[in-house]
Amino acid sequence: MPASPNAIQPPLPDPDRLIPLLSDLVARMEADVPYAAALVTDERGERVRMGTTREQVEPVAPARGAVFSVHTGRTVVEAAVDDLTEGALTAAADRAVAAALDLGIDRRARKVDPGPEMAARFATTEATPYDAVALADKVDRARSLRDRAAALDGRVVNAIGLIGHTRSFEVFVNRAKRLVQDLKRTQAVVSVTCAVGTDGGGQSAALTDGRGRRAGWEAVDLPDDLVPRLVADCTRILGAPRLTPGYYDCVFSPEFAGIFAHEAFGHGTEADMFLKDRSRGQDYLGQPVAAPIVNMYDAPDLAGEAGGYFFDHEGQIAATTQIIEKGILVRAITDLASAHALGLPRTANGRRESFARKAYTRMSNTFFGPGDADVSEMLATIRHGFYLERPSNGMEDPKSWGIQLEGHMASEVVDGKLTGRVFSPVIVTGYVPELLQSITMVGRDREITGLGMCGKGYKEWVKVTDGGPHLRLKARLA
Amino acid sequence: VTIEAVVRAVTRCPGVAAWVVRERRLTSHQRYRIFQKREAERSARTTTVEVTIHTERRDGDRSVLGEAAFTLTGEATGAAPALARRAVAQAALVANPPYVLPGPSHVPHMALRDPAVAERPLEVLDALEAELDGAAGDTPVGSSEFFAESHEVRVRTSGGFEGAYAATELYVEFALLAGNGAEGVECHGIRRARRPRELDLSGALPHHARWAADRRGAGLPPTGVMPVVFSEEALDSLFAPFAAHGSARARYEGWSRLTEGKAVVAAAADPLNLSIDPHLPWRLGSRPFDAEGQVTAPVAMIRDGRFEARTASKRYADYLGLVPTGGGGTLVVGPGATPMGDLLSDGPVLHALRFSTFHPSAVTGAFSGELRTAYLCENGKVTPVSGGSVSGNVFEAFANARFSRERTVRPEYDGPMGVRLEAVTVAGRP
Repeated sequence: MPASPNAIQPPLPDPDRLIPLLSDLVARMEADVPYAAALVTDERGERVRMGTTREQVEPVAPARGAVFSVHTGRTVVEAAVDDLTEGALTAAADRAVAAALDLGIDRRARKVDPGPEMAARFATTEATPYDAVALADKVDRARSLRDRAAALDGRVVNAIGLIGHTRSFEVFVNRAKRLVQDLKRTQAVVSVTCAVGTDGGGQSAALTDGRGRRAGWEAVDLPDDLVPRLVADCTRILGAPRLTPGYYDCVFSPEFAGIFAHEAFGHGTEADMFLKDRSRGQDYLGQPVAAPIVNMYDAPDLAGEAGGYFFDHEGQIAATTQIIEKGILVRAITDLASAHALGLPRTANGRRESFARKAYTRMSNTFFGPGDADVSEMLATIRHGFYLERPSNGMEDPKSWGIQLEGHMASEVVDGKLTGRVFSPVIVTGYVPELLQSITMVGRDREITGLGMCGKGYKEWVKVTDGGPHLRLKARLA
Repeated sequence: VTIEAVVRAVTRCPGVAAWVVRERRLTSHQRYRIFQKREAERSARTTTVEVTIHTERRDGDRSVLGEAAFTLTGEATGAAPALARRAVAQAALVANPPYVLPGPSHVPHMALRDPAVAERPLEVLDALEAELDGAAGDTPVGSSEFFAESHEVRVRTSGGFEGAYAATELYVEFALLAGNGAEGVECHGIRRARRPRELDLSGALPHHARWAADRRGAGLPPTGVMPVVFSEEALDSLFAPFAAHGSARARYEGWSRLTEGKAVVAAAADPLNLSIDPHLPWRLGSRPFDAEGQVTAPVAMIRDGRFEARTASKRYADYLGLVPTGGGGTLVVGPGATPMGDLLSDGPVLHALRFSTFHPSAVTGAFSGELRTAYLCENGKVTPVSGGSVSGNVFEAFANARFSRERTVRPEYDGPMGVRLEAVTVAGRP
């Protein structure tokens, strides 16, 4: 049994062949246009999904191709192709230039900065290379997660153990940079569906948990209590009532804090939305937007976290951006076009769903910074409120600063103690600065689970993570 | 990469008992604007060939199906033989109940491809751009994105199915702005269709412009349990839990709460009639066959409030002894007898048109959504509200559902213009 799915898949793009070719093409393009760049991406991977009712071993849909970008001075023109032969790449580069010339070049426009001269190759460190592990062992691991979950409670009607791995091999070239990165992300996930009395009525519930890392096979080791807690929580929310709507003192779990960070001032500080007058954040740079104990970051360079990378899809080297410092909105995240147009500092947040899609300003690993409180101290201050965990999704409105966070589980807190009563599901809505300014305690812990994906609006999915410490705040719940 | 070369590689591979090969060709033209300035102009061409192989083996006294898949893109045809051999080895590691892939079948013709979109995409984008600007009038459009895409799909199976179809798709996304600074609001909209006629930007934009204007100064709704009329975007996913529980997969996995011949909700004011129709011309949900080559068929799932039939892919149809219907389709809901105006007149009633996001849980039926565009109707007065949330569970809330007499057609929904649920939790003003 071959261990590696990549061993006999089409070979990875050869940077020693591509970099000279792409450099020549970029130079040729810049004879006609002010700025050109090339990005080659090869994304592949596999999913080993062992369910109670179905078992699957399948590849992650591969995305392998190139995109040539031209800045005309007014517009970005791009041509993308899924064929990496010299002829196809040359044709795509020519297509981008021809389209740019059709639209017209503005020679008087401010020139795009290609960044400092740099040639570098980066790769994810794997303690145990994923490709060195036999597929049979991956199947066994996924089955053991499934079987453990299924055996814990008779109400589990479907359990799934999933091992997933993606490899993104990327080459970026402009007139100053020749960059290569080999990103490997691995995750282990468990899903359970519980049901009682389904025919003609009854109740059902489903929960998922797991961990993802920018790492090798070592990332599939889950905390010992993850599966038992998952099954126990799924049975607890089975048929659980919804809480009475109102404003409550709350403690957000690190996962819930993470989705809050992501939706609140992750999307709210994406600078491409400033250009479109679609974000209120541009009017509040330098202004207080949160309690003084609040710090928030976007960090593509965070070691091992799955939303990270070494450089973005426009060749910017990854570095941490502090978005909120002591409650002040200090900095936006940018892509090349928005930073250039607005005169903002460039951050490494220009990302694409694939070579076939446009680059936007996108988050990476987004999280609240730690404070000095303990979760038990937070709970002790609550007379009647809720501990929120297991978030399911969220949505932002950067223009109006409205926010929606949904979760599976709200545990009642009375006189500083969890009562054991659980409500499900739960929705948090509110005005972002009001929520951020209501934060009175920040935990000293920080957790990032690494399973997230993010859309721009309702499409353009990229890998992100979020997390944080526990937060104590006041929120409108239903 | 070509489907023929891949089929040759798979059929020659030892150990392959059955296979399905899908080829998808996509040509995409994309235009992005910031206000009226073009931000980016893109084109992309991709071809993928997806292969699923089945193997057969015995495990004691039972037959076991092994399955594995691989995908080829771009110029990678040469890898097909090695990938097929690896897939056979991978399939030996999984054990599923056997089923039979679809065989030869008549492929119905459907109107899914607009020649103008397929052959003159840039002209179509120019026209859509002009139509959007004209329809927006004086309302600023902060950003807009226009996609014109052509898809060609071919599927072949070892059982002898062979089918192909071509389809086009238009996607327009826009953000209309109202007000400035801290008073500024937007109304974000998405229109999707197979051709410009159904996209109807001229008809849609004025509504969005009014919704943007109405959001300025809109306050929170009251808190409590009250009637809510769902319409517009709120309808897109409201019925999704019924469709999910009415699938053969839900039944096989043990979480379907619907039983053939039984009422789907305890008591219904207007009985629910719900079907899944994959054959309606020009609809985004329409397709002649699914990814496995199963020819699609309409399913009358719920009739007069009673559950009648399940949607079923070939896999789950074989497992449960049902007739396969394939996947996909437009969700068609029967109208009620009440005029839309009457649904809104017996107030106070909250009229919910658009949420930040609204996806009722397919498993539990629970729903929650932050209100983006909504109106409180009371004593003949209509007041815009925004923020706060509605929540409930469709399986309980539909007990007293009433449907409007008027119909509306959305990309994947064809049914009443309004659905009134009598007891929905609204969280708003303290």
